[in-house]
Amino acid sequence: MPQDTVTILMVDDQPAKLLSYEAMLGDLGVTLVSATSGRAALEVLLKQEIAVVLMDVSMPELDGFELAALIRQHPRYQQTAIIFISGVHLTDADRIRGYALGAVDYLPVPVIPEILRAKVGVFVDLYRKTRQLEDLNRDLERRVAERTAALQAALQIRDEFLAVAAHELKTPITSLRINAQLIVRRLQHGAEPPSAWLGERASMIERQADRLTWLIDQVLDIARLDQRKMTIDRVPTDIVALAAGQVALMQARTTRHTITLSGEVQVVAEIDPSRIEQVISNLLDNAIKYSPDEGEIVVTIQAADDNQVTIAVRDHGIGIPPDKRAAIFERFYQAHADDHRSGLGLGLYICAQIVTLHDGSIAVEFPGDGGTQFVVTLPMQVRTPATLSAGEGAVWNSQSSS
Amino acid sequence: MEQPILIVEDDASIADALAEVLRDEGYMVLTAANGQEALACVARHPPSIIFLDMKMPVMDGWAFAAAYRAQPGVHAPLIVLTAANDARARATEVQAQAFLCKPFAIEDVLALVQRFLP
Repeated sequence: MPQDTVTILMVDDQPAKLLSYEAMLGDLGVTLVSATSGRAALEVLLKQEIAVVLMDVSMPELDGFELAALIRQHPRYQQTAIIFISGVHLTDADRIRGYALGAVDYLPVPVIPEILRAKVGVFVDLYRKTRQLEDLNRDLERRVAERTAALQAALQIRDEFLAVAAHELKTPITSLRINAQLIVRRLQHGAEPPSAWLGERASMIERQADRLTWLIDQVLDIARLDQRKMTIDRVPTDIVALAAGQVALMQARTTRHTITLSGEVQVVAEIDPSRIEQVISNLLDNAIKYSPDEGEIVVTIQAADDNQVTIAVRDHGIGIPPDKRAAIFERFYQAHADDHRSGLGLGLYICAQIVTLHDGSIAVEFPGDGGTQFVVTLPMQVRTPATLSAGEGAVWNSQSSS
Repeated sequence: MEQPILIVEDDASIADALAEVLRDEGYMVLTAANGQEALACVARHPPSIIFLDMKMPVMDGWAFAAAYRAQPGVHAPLIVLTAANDARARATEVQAQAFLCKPFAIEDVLALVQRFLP
């Protein structure tokens, strides 16, 4: 039943009277239902939603007062307007009894059409407004419930993230502590440890410190992104040279993988070098992490005609199961969480955000012969309105460096 | 032959440093980077103590502990290495005899070894 349908029930043992009321109320824009006895009226009330009951006080079997009392007992009809029509003179005591039973108004016979319409109209309006209010209230309650659930879910995600972050941070700290203690113990034991051994331990400590820095930077990046405070400082940069630097750095960390750079010799684009470096480093880190067996990793830089450069990072690793591919760029998502391969679940999310801040895009491909390929597409030159003068660049720089 | 102390830990920098510390103290030590390697290890060299990290790729600490306990014969004391907040719960889950919370210190490790290998 449409929400704004309003039904009025007319109860009278004389069909002729029902017909006359129907004629009087015909143009109110409501649905009219008739009943010729109290019992028939109750049956109608059980079946449908009634806004106003218009009833004759004196009816055989079940009179108006008795019917009103029965109607009021039903929880659904406690607010229904009941208008009595009375052919005989009613004493004040009768009226008071009627009000006590739930009547809201009285109409004497002969019924004057304008008065009947006016009185019924008031209660129809009241009914409609009450309904609207109830709907609004329900909607509000639903929205509050939805909002509360969303906030609780966000809090839970944050709690889980904190637990994961604490866990991830404790691993390099353990290593730092144990390695530092080991050096101290060796020194205390008198015999000077060989310098090669000391060098190995020191670089281990350095690597763990780097890992801690990297983890903390990720957490800080998330805070920056959440507060929309991550800035991109664009500088004309040779992306090939930038990628070559990252390839060399990452190659130094692994003996099991071969990382090669292919494509263009030089591509200069207006990018934030440290942020794009971060993207390439993150993609390479993933490529190594998810290629447990030795494998080839290829970084390809290509310039396209329409002011675009692509950076593709291809590995031949374990790939990503099809059912987990959709969520990989989401915050805190770890497609391989069950494997307990370390990480915060932030890398690809941060990469995607950095690329978006550069007006670029990031996509993932799954080549037929296995592995994963991430492709970052960046505009080489930022489109600036033709009216901008050379001075605008300086303004922009001063803003971005502040 | 002397029974080795087995360190099951995927972070090589932690496993190696622990191994060196224990070797300095005169113990024989073996390391495994995950549960699978550890199972192969215990099959060849029944250990005297097992230090077990929980979150490891390939086969984690829970899976290793279950497989190890399912084996017949005597079982070495299990010491859980964990960065989790509920370290005690972790230890109970795998019926470990003790646990070490990361970041632990060398003294904590040696104290436990002396407790189980007097």
